[in-house]
Amino acid sequence: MLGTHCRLYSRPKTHLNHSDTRMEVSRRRILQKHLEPARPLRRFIHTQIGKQYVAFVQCTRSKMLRISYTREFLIELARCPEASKKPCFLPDHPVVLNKAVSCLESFGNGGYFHDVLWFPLVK
Amino acid sequence: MNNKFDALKDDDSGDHDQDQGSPKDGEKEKTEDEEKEQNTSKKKMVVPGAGEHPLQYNYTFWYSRRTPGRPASTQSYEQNIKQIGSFASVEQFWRFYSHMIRPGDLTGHSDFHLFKEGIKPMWEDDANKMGGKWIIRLRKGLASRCWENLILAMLGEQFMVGEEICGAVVSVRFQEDIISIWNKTASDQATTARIRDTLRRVLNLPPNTIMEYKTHTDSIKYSLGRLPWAGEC
Repeated sequence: MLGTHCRLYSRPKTHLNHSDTRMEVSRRRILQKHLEPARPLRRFIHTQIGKQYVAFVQCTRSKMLRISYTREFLIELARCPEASKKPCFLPDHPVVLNKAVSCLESFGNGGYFHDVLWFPLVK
Repeated sequence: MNNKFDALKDDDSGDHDQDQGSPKDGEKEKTEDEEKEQNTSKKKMVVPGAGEHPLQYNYTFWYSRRTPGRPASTQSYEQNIKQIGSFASVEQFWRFYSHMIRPGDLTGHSDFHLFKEGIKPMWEDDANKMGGKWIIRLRKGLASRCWENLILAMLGEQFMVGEEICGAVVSVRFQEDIISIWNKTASDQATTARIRDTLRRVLNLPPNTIMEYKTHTDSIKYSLGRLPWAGEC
């Protein structure tokens, strides 16, 4: 395999020679090598805990990579069990509920883009 | 503006119903516990949990309500506004949101505020003082849905205006509800135009919807000569 690499890079002009089937085979091998599935980023995230994860988040934020989510993605996360756990430090206040209400209870399928049954107040 | 309480007057346009009393009174009324609570909240920085989806910024939920039967002049806006909690990830946001009543279920003269952590929902905050807000007035029955769509767009960084967004407010009033989104630089027309266009898109507003931009400087000026219960902005 190493020999194949060397041959390719030492004879670059042969890339343009389409009649050279030997080189075609070599190129395919190289491509196959490069197309190995990448390790998903998610695996990295899930294996990190505590400080390492926080460091990752801070690093992401500081690199000016904007973390953006679509409405649909955010709503999808509302369905996970984590979303209905009560936060540890909620004040005792009339607007705070003891039991979680379904995030999507009011809005059903969430397809507001197609919902024409409501309009803002128009003067 | 020498003192932050000087400008804390009434404004029904989606944010304040602030203090008409003397500045010193307002400061005196602030209890030690409240100061301690606010200092503590400044020190604690929420972070995303392991495996959670981090947000671009941390945010804080606030709630304010004008006490029924008491004239606004006796209250300090700053005293009247309560922190509900801060969050740093999508999952943490839903935990708070699912444990709070919906704006449409609020009664009386109430506001929910969702601001970036460290920014108070006040005109006088350093992040807000040069800024302004887009205001949309809604007929009754729409506040919950519009508020949800607005804050999801804000948390999801859909406005694409860099650091400009400060926060969002939903105000429940007698005959209508108001939602608004605050930004840092009122003079930046490109930014305010982009915020307006994004609002139209994420709220699915009809083309003829009236949208009003109001600078906080104007809000302060306008509120000075007006009684707190005088109504429209």
